[in-house]
Amino acid sequence: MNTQKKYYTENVIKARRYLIAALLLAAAGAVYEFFSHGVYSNHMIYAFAYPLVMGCLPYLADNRGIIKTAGPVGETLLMALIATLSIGSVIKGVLEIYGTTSFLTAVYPVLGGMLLIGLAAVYFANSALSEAAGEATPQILKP
Amino acid sequence: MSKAKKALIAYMTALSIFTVYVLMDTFVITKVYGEATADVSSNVLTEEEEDALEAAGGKQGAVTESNTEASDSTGTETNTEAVISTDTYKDENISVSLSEYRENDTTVYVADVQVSSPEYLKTALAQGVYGRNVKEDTSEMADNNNAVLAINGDYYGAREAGYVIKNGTLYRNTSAGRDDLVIYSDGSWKIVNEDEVSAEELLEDGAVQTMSFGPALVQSGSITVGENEEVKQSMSSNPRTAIGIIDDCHYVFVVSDGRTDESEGLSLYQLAEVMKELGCDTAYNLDGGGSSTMYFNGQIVNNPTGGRAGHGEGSERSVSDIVYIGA
Repeated sequence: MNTQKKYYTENVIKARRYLIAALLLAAAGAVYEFFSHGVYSNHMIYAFAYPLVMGCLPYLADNRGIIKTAGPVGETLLMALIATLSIGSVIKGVLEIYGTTSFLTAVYPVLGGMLLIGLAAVYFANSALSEAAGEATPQILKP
Repeated sequence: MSKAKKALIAYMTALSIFTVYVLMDTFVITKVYGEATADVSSNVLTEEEEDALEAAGGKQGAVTESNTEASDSTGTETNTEAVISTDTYKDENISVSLSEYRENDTTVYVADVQVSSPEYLKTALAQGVYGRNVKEDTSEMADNNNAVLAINGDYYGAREAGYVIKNGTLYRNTSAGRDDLVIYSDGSWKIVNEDEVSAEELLEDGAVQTMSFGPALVQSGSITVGENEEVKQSMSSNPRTAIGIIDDCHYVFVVSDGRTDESEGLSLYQLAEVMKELGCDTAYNLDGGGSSTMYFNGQIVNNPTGGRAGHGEGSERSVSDIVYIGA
């Protein structure tokens, strides 16, 4: 298996995990909404979008090895970021449907922002290290 | 296992613990910030009056008259005969007439109240204290305060902001930007926006009660909600609770059933139409849904849908506060 195909296969496997997470969140949201007496929350309904848009689709679309550049630390930060925002969205949805609020829900987007900054920092640091080491810029990966 | 994976597991564990804490803090952990200042000790009914209330029975009970003495708010007996039946209560100072009718495939309960003084319109806090996650059934609070008639209030404890003035005491002064119903000591009612006046100013102006839920349904005799307006993300048909003033010392307490096959529920606009038809000059929407409960003469009048029993008896949702009529 050549390197490009190997990267692509790895990406598909990771994308599939995020897709499963998205489907589970969509199902959980649908069940919760079903029993909520018609009170709806966009945070609950669209919680599945985080793993889908930030996880599944980027991995499927990443044929240039951009995510790979971030390295295992970057991918771990991405996973933590998606989990934080997804859980935060579900919790916000639960509270909205009940008709209550909690200032503590603000912690999730704050954590998400910090993780995003960390992810960006790791990505640019790895890119700089690669260039400094004389490696080629991320090669175009195709299956 | 790589360091990155170990760090991820540690982070996810911490995130899970924090999430459980958020849910516990919001729904379970009781935080008492202060005791209610209303003195209910002077409102204790006489033994004879309690017997008369019991004798009035439930919704199917027989009409009973009694020769009991009611006590006024100062604790002095006034030799007032309280005439109590299944759908009426009348003494020297309080007159309540309960009626039930169908509107928009919904059962609506209307309590027409006339009192000799606005002081008989009161509020009570769950367990007699102000706090978060301090809850009690409407009927329990009504019993504890010897209420003749009670409905659930604005459920202040479900939110972190919104003015809370109950029985002349300011408990919370943080604005949520909502339109509040303000009841003044002279008996007048006014709808004010929390962003336009502070809670302290309201108190200085003589406010004795605020209801921070809304929206206002009727102002100056005109409907003030749009046909498609709703409380945040709620569906259009719901159990509802509303309170309105027709004239000086003349109020209506309204509760509608909903979320059942027998009673669909009302939209906010339909509720506003009901309040306008009843002749309200000002009417205000209180917490609805599973919280909607009306209590009269010792019995729950409507079919609440807030408890585990589904709907009807035993399915009251515990709430933070009630609005009631009592001596």
